[in-house]
Amino acid sequence: MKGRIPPKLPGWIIRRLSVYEDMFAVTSDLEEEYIYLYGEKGKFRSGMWYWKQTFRILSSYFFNSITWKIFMLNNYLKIALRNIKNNKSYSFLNIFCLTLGIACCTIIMIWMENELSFDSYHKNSDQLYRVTNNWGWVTPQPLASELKNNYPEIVNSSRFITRGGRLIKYEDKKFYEDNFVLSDPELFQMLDFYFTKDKPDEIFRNINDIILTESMSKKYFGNADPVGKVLNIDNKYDFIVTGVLKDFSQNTMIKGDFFISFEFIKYYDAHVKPDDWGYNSYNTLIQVQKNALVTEIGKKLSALSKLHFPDSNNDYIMQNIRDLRLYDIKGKRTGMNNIYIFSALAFLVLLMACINFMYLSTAGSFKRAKEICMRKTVGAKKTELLVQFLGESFLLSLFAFVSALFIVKLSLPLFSELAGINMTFDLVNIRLISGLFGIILFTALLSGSYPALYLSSFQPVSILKGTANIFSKHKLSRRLLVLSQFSLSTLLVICLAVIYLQLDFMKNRDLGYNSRNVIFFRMKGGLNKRYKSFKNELKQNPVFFSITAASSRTGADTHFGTRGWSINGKEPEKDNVITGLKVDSDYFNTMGMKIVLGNDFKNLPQNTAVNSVVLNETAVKTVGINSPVGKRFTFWNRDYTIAGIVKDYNYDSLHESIIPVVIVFAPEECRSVVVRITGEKDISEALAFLKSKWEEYVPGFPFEYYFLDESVENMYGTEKKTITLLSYFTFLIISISSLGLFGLSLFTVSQRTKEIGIRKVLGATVFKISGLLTTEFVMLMLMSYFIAWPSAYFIMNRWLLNFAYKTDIGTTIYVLSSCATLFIALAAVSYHTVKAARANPVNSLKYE
Amino acid sequence: MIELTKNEELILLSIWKLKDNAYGVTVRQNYKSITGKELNYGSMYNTLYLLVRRGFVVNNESDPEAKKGGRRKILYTLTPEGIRALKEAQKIQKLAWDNIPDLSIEES
Repeated sequence: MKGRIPPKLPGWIIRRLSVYEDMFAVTSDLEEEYIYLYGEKGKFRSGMWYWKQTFRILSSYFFNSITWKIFMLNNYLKIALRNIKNNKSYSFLNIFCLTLGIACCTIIMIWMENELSFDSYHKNSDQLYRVTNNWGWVTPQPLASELKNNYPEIVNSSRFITRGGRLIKYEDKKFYEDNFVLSDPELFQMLDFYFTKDKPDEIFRNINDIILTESMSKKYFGNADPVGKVLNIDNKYDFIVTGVLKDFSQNTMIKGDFFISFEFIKYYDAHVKPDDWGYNSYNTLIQVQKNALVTEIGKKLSALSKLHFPDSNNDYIMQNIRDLRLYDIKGKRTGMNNIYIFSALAFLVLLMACINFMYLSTAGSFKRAKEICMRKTVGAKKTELLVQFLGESFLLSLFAFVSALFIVKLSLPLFSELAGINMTFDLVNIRLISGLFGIILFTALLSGSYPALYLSSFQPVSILKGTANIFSKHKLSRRLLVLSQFSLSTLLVICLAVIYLQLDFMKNRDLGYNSRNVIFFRMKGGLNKRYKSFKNELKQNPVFFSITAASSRTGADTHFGTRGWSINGKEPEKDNVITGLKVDSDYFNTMGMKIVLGNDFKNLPQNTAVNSVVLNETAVKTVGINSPVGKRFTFWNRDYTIAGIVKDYNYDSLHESIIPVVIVFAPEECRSVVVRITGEKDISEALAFLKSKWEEYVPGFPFEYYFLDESVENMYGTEKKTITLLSYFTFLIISISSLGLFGLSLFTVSQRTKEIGIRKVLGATVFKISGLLTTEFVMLMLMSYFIAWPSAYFIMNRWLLNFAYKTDIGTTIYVLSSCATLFIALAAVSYHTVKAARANPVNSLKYE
Repeated sequence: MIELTKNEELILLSIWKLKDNAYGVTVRQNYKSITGKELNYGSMYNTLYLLVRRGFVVNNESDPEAKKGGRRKILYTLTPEGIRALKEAQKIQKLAWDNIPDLSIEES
């Protein structure tokens, strides 16, 4: 007998799947016969026999069981559909809420898929890094070649820069183009740019080669082949088209409409030497070796920065191009935060819908108690019932999913506009499909699990006897579910209110200047050289209150920040950056800024003014002297006299606190004209006049102007978008919770019909009965505040940290928001309760 | 009328014949000795499963025997319904074969 051990695996499979093993002890039968066969036919053939029999057993077993399962499934499906049909309002409620939840999740998923896939389509995307300074995205020109030539880990590099506002002309077509990129040819090796036809043999062989995109080619050349044609740029340079790129997919950060050689920068930035390490204005993209240690390269970059700037805390940082969209240069989450917030909110909407499903199906379970008990008595196992109910919730989720797809299809254009990207919904993306499938499965499991466990645990004896009160069982868990919904709704309303208040606060805050009726525009086509006569012509027209010019929009240009300054010849103790701004004489009264001490430029004679500066209050604090007016101030390697002090003004959004600014009188170096118009009614006239003068001075250049108040509001675009989206989500969550409450109140009331009837007969008023029925909900609501208020306080405090200037949040906002949600909840509950309270007791007591 | 397939009938007969020693291996041997064909385990267990469900057969665990090295062994016995089903099958068989002309004549 020794050695006649049968193969272990088939026995293990049979035991594992418990195929008839409990009933017939399959393996021992097989083993007995195997041992017999072993003696007769040898090891190999008996082994074969063993395997063959195992296979036969398994296949026939599964075939058999599947036939039976299909019979059962058919029955389940029939009952499920019948249930949906018999409880129309309840099924509709459930499916409707689930639809909203699933649609919400689907839209957010499409959006997320789009955001997260930025620049990941490049073949080498994991090796591509943008190098930036630690204070901004710009780098000096020589960095790229230095990195490529002297660092073996860096295999390729390219400089590039986008220069907006180029006037491009072909025959009679001329437009301003903003996506005009200068780059080294290496950029085309590192990134995956797709040419429509043949790639040019050599990119940018000549300095006047230009590559444009397909849609630009259509715009200028129609359907003709653009290769070899000549484009004129800025009325100065002629470029020959050498290639056409396919239009860029929207999910890339590095794109352009026109590409020319970076060598051309010597015409644009003639004052910058190509080996100047101090002039940071350009982008640098590098490609590192496969599997290179990024942290090691980062250390070497820091060393390089130390080499060129030994005394400053300047540093070069690398950022993978896939992270450009969602993180800032220091790796802080910017867009990524939104991804987290909105996916969490979408998930919460779905969760609310699932919670509705949970408590509505448990509350409505008394209707199905008989069916469940019948199944149990006939011999259904608990697992079979579990499968049945999970299957039902799966079926409902499926229905909801199908209708959600319609909603998604219809509402996607709206959300595309809101998100500012073009979202498309096509079921070709594997990740998206699996995500959607995950949503359905998740919804079915989450919403179905609790009711399934609850329903399948019914005790047939007590229910069929009629002693058990199913409805009042599990009351606690139902209450907890409602409580969670209440808390979330209140929390969201409070958050919404706080964000709204903060936005309102920022809009109405005194910025230190008057942004109404102010227009600004950039001087183009050499207008800055004729600015003086331009200004004088405008002055003739009384609609203009004042005309001035500045080097930037609202009074601080971070490009002109410097650490090199001194006061009265003394070097500062601390290494502080002071930012410079160049203005024309009427700047302060045009902007409506207040001079708190000393003189305005316009009160000074021209030759004194050019040697004078005005400091803002923060700059005075930074400089650290008591009576600054009249002191010598050295800035940009020039000596100035401090003429006056301007009241602090918020040049940027209120996220930032005010920075020290030095304002210099230099009308020739200004690039933007700023105009204050006398009154609101004069705006159209002023614009018409400006336009005609513009045509006169720089014909052929389009006139593009901005209102200052609009551009100030645009600084809060992100917050506005957040508040819009958040209000959508809040609306959804509150309506879903209200619908759930509406359904739940129906069940509560229908359980107590008789009680209400008896109370009414005994003399209770409608008001009293309504009160009785709603007390439970009101209590839950009040309890929910204990959860909602602290969490709202915590979350909103964190959010307000983003702002240098914040509104005060009093307790009123909490109380008001809570009252609002309470009111909504009461409205949802009152329909059924009032109806029940007003019903004639005869009707409810008639039947016994 | 209780319907039995040929396989069911033969398995029930085998169990009846084997009395106290009816289990997987012996039932299969008996089947082979009657029909001359191998009955594979797959269809045997499936048939047995249905017979148990219909209440014709009960399966009982026997005491571990030395022969099987202490392994489990499950014995089958017929229930009264099983016996009735067999009787009925026998009756139908008899009725069907009654008054049938001799087959051997036709064959030649």
